[in-house]
Formats: sequence, C-alpha cells, structure tokens
Amino acid sequence: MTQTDRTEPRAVKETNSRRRDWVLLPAVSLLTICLLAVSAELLSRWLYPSTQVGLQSCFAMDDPTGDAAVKPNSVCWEQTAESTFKAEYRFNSRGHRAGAELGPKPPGTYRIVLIGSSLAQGLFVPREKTFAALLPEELSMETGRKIEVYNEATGGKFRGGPFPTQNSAQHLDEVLAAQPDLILWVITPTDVTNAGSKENADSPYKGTLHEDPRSATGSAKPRSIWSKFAASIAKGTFSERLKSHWEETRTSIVLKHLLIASESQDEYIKSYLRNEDDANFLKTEPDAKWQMQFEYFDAELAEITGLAKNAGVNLVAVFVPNRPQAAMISKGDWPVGYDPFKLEDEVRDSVVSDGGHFIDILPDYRGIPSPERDYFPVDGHPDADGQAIICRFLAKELTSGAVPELKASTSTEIAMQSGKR
Amino acid sequence: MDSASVQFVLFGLIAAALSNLSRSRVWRSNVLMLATLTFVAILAKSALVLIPLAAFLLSGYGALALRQRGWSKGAAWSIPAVIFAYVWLKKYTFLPERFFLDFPYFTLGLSYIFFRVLHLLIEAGEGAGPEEKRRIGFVPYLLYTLNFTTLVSGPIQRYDEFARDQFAVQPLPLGPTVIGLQLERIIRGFFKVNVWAMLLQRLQENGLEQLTQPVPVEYKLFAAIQLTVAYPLFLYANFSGYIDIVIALARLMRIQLPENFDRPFSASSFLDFWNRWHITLSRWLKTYVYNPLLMVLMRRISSSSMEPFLGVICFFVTFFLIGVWHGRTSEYIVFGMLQGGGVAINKLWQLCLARILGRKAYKDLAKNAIYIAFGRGMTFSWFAFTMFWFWANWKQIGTIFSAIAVAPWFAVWLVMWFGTTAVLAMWELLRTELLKIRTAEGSALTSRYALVVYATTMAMIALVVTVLLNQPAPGIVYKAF
Repeated sequence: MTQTDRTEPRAVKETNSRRRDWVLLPAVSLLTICLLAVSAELLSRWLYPSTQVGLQSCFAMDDPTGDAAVKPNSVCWEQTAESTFKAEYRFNSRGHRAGAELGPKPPGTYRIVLIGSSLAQGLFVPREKTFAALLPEELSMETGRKIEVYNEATGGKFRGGPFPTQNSAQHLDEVLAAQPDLILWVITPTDVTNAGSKENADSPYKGTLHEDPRSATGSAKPRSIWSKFAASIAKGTFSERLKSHWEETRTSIVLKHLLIASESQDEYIKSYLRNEDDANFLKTEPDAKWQMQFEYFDAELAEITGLAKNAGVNLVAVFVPNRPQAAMISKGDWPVGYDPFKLEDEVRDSVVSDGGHFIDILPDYRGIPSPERDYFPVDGHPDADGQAIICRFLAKELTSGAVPELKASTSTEIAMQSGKR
Repeated sequence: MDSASVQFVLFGLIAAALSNLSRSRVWRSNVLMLATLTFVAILAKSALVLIPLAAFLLSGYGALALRQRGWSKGAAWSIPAVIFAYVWLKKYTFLPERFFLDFPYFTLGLSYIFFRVLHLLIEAGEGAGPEEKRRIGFVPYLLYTLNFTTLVSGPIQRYDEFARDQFAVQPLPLGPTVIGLQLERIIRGFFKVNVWAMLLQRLQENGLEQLTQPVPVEYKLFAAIQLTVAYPLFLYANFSGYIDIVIALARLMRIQLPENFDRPFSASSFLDFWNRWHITLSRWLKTYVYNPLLMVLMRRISSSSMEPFLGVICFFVTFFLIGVWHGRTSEYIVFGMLQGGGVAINKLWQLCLARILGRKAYKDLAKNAIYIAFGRGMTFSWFAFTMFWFWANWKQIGTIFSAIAVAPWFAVWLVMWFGTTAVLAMWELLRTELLKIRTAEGSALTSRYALVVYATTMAMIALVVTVLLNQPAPGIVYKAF
C-alpha cells in the first residue's frame, strides 16, 4: 500500500467529520442552552422556594386594580424566594392583621392605631416578628404603662391595597372608631410613588401612551406569526416582553438576590444610584415627575392629618428608609446631588404644617453597620431583623418626649405605677 | 469602548470582518488604520486632548528617523528624552507639579506606546543587525504604535513580529477552525472580565468593608484573607480576560499577538511567576534592562564567584522598574521594591540551596512535588501581599494593616500560604487527571465539542449578567498604567 492510499481514507473521514460539525456544533450549543436554562430554573426553585397558600381566601386576586380590601376573618400563607420562612397572614373580622379582634379600650391602656402600607403590615414576615407586634412590649417597658398597638396597615397591591390612596381619608373614620390615643403613620418612599401612580392611573389620559396607534386605523386582517414577530421587534416590545418573561423566572430573582447581597455597601449605593428613575427621591433636585408624585402624596397627607386633628387625635408620622437610603445614612457620605434625608425633611415639613407630629428615626441608622443587610435585597421590604430595628428606633423616638404621654419613665416611676395598678 | 464591553467586541469583530474582505496588505493596513483612528476618536472625544500624544508620537518618529539614518550618536539623547517625556506626560509625582500641563489630555495607552517607541529606538541603534535596521515608514510606525487591539493594555508586541503578520504578502491563514477558536477565546475573555472579575471585585470590596467595621476578630481574620486572596484573582481575570479578547480580535485580523499569561498561579517560584504573568512586559524589561545591565556589571566586575550575585542585582533592578512603571505615586516604589526584592531573594535562595546541597541535589529537590506545591503557595501569598501597594493608597494601606495586630496578620499569611498550597496543588492534580481523559482526537476536555459547551455556557451567563441583570463590569485595571 502506498503512502497516498493510507492517508486518503483519513482525509475523507476528516472532511466528513468537519462537514458533520456544521450541524453538530450548533446542536451541541442549543442543547447546552436548553439544559442550562432548565437546570438553573429547577435549581433556583429548589433552593429558593416561594409558596403562596390560600391567598385567594385573603385577597381579591382577580380585582384588576389590586386595591380591593382584605377579606375579613381569613388566613393565608406566603413565602417569598428571599425569605427563609413562611409568613402567616391572619386577618380579623375587620380585615386587619392585628393579631386580635378590636375590643373596647381597657381603662388605663394607651392605644396606638398603626396606619401605613406593606412595611407596617409586615409583608413576608410572621406577625410576631413585625415591629407592630414587638412595639407594645418595648413601649410598655420604657413607659411603665400598658400600651396597645392595633395594626390597620394595608399590604399594597393585591394585598389589601396601597396606602394612602384617594379613599384613605374617607376611611379614616374606621381608624377613629378604634378609639386611638395616637395614630402612628409609617411612611416609606414607595408610598409617595404609589400615591402619585394612582393619580396618574386615574387620569383621563390613562393608556393612550401605550396604545398601538395602528389599532384604530389599521387593517383588521389577521397577521402572520412572522409579521407579528417583526412588528414587535420594530416597536421594541419584543425585547420588553422577553425581559418581562425573564423577570418572572425564579432564576432571575435568585441571581438578582445573590448579586445584590454580594455587593459591598459602597458598591450597592453606587449601583442603585445608577438607576436614575428609582433613585429620583434621593436626589437633591428630583425631576418634575417625582415632584408631581409628591404633590399627590402631600394632598393625601394633608387630608388625613387634618381629619385626625379635627377629631382631636394626635397623629404622629414617621418616615422609614428603604434599603439604599438606610445604606447611605449608615455609610455617612453620598455622591454630590443626592441626599438621603431630603424626602424625610419634606414629609416632616408637610406633616408639621398640617398640624401633625413627626418623629425622626433616620439618624438612628447612622449607628448600624450595613443596615441594608436587614432588608430583602430584591423585594426591598425589611426582614425580621429589619422589623426589630424599626421597633427599637420607634420605641426610642416615641419615648424621647415627642409624645408627652409616652415619655420614658425612670425605674422608680415605673415601680410606682406598677404599685398603683 | 476602553473596556471589555459588548461595544468593544462588536467594534473589533466589524473591523476584522472588513479587514478580511481582501488579503491585500494595503487593504488590511488601511482597515487597521481606519479602525485605530476611529477607536482613538471615540475615546478622545475632542482633537485638542490628543495634541500631547500626537507630539509624543511625532517626536518619537523624528528620533527614529534620525537613528535610522545612522545618526545614532547624534540622536543618543532621544532615549532619555522619550523616557522624560513619558514621565512628564504621565505626571509622575516626584516631578514638581508646576511643570505639568494644566489641561486634561489623552494618556490612555501611553505606557504601551512608550514601550513600543523605545523598542524601535533601541533596535534602530548602532548595535542592531541589518534586519532591525530596515527603514520604518511613518504609516507602519503609526500602525504599530497605535494598533487599536494593543493600545489600551498591550500586549507589548515586537515590531518585527507585527510587521511579519501585518505586511505579509501571504497573511496568516484563517479557516473555520481558527475562527471558531478565536470566537471561543473572545467569549472566554468576556466572561472573565464581566463575570469572574466582577464577582471577585465584590469579594474584595466586602473583605475591605468587613475589615474596617467593628466586628469580632475572627470575622476580621476571615475578611483579611478574603481581601488578600480576592485581589490577585480579580486582577488576573480582569487583565487576562481583556488580553484574551484582543489576542483573538487581532488573530481574526490575521495578526498573531504574543501571549501575556501562562497560568501564572501554577508558578512554583516568584521568578517563574514573572515568566508567566504579564509576559510581554517582563520580556521587554529583561531584553532592554536586565541583559544590558548584566553585561555592564560583568564587564566591570570580573570575579567569577561574584557572577551569580550580579544576576541577583540585575533581577532586583529589573523588577523594581516593573513595579515602579505601574504607577505615578510612592506606593508603586514600595510595590517595585517588593517585586524586585521577591525576585532577588528567590534567586539568592536558589543560589544558596545549590551551594549547600550541591547542584544535583538541588535539581532533584526542585522537581519534588511537595517542594513545588509549597513554592506555589509561597509565590501566590507573596504576590497577594504585595498587591496592597498596587491597588490601595497609603491611607487605605494604613487602615488595612491597623485593622488587626501584627500577630494576626502573620497568622493570616501562614493560613494563606498553607491554604493556597493545598488548593493550588489539588487544582493542578485535578487538571492533570481531567486532561488524561482522551478520545482518538486528543483530550476530551479540549475537544471542539467541549469548547462549544464551555463557550455557550459562558456566553449565556455573561449575557444574563451584563444585559439582563445590567451589572456593569469593572474597568480594565491596566488601562490606567
């Protein structure tokens, strides 16, 4: 056999093998993508379970606005992928997550009615670990008198509706019916955004921006899949839709959670501030859209504070920071053009000018290293540790003299009061 | 564009595609010039900021032209002048501040341009052979010094290597296999910079944050280890990832750039480490500093017993200069001393052991797996500690070292030495065993099917992290030098 004879079959084999690769290599690539996507999602679901048990029995999940009130006497459970425990939501006959029914106020008891949104309701946190549940004991210890906290906070969209809304002031009589000695309103940056969004959503121009201009005049002829696909690419809705599908996957939540949790405080602040829209409320000069949202919120605030004042009930508002705000305050410095205290200052001015009182817990976050670790990184609500911190700060500020009836007593005074009882 | 971004990769791929429309060297040079000028224009944003760089390049070419015309003696000043111009333009802090230009100007890639210009001037000198003495025109000079693939962070290519590929009548072949391998390398580089480096940087920043907070000492010890280990790994992912991308892009343009890394953390000694880390820089300085300096010293000190120790001195000077080159401030002087000191002590250790044990016994010891493993751990931990003077300023260095006492720092160093010895030894063992899995075509783990799986996985993760999760990659560290 000659040299050529020996090499020829090998060359032919190699050519065939190379030709086969044009099909085989893309197929290997495609298979890898499928395996990766499926295994990542399965692994995420296994390691970061998220469960919702009986939510339909507590909330009107089919209500398109998401603002419907909680169903009375209901119980359901929810665990977010970021949480390690399943939180029970048990609502009383008035639809409140108060831990007990609202009864007549026992003599000598100081009753605080808590209003606010999901943070105050303790979303994703078992009730006994929420600040609303921890606060009575803390306050009673500080003041030496019996203090009761009745939680009327709502849980946000599809969890009893946001707070405040246009109807919130109309429902203040329910709050007053609880015979509060003090109404404690817990305000968060999200409440300001939600108040503005609600107004925008109710505007007569609602939806016009997102409507397909061709829908009214265009042909009614059904379009092919390809033309729909091409049109969605041209409009940019394809990438948006793809992104929204991605956002719904557990893989997306888990990856975001891990990435945010792995950031140092400095890097977290920087990356949060890069998102101009989210960080608007932290700017020293927020844009017109944010200012308009604040105006809507301010109107609600004025109405609620005014009604409480007219009813002769002391209303105390407190501003609780969100995750980036807490991180900035703890770090102690922030980029030029931003101020984590600005929104609180504005809220305080409004509350005080409307005749309410304000307690300031933001500076207390200076003393905590990395307080952002006590929030769920993606969802942004405080976890059980975050709720405990809020409880500590609220107790400190409420008993500092801002509310004379709650001024902290000395140990002798506490002993005397116990003796009297 | 000055980082391993999607835009930079797309820009490079478009340039490569255009370059391959014709095999003519004129066409390929025109495309490279156009791509380079576009790249510089995008980064510079205004023509005014380019004036100092243009002046530097023009004066470099002027000196080169004089030397090429045989006026080497008359143009002897050109080398110190280029060094001074570089130091002045880079604003080294040992020069009085009032001498500096007080307007912002473009210095990106100046260090690498400096090495290329200096290389051309030295090679055009008297001692150069006829090959090096051939005239270099202004366009080839610009193509070589400004080549967009090597502008930002190298690698530092020799002119003859560049000219061999760029001006070849028969350019380097570019078949589907080569294209596939380069695309895989681009993805690998992109993944290293945008995913690995990003995560390692977070690890380092978290370590730094933890170290400076009021936490128990055991947390601080852990943070100190995390901080020390993460940075060299980050730097490797960041720099070698970028180099992977540019080497692959250049190869797609039919230019073979020199390799800059060769698994540096497998090095069993600090001397070996510098043969594997930023290879083109250490090769440049060995050629133009170590060798001439050794020759001069050997001529002056003729004692044969001193000869090996002259090498130690030359190593110190060479690697001290490597350290100092990295930055303009006094931190880099210490960094240089630690690099030079590390290499010099390593060389002395080898000489002493050879004298005490005898050459053969020393050679046997150097082949011993346990000796190699401990040497590897020592090399990594030494390099990792010297890195504090690379990335931190004096204030940060003070904060880091005062966070825990001397004894705990010693414990950290010991843990690192033994820990990295064990981890790197296991990694080497695992790698060797995995590579033993073979098919008829070679190692199964480096087959084209395996490469497609790696590339797809890395591309998907990098896409998710950069596009969907919008995580910005850290900038290329070496672009600052």
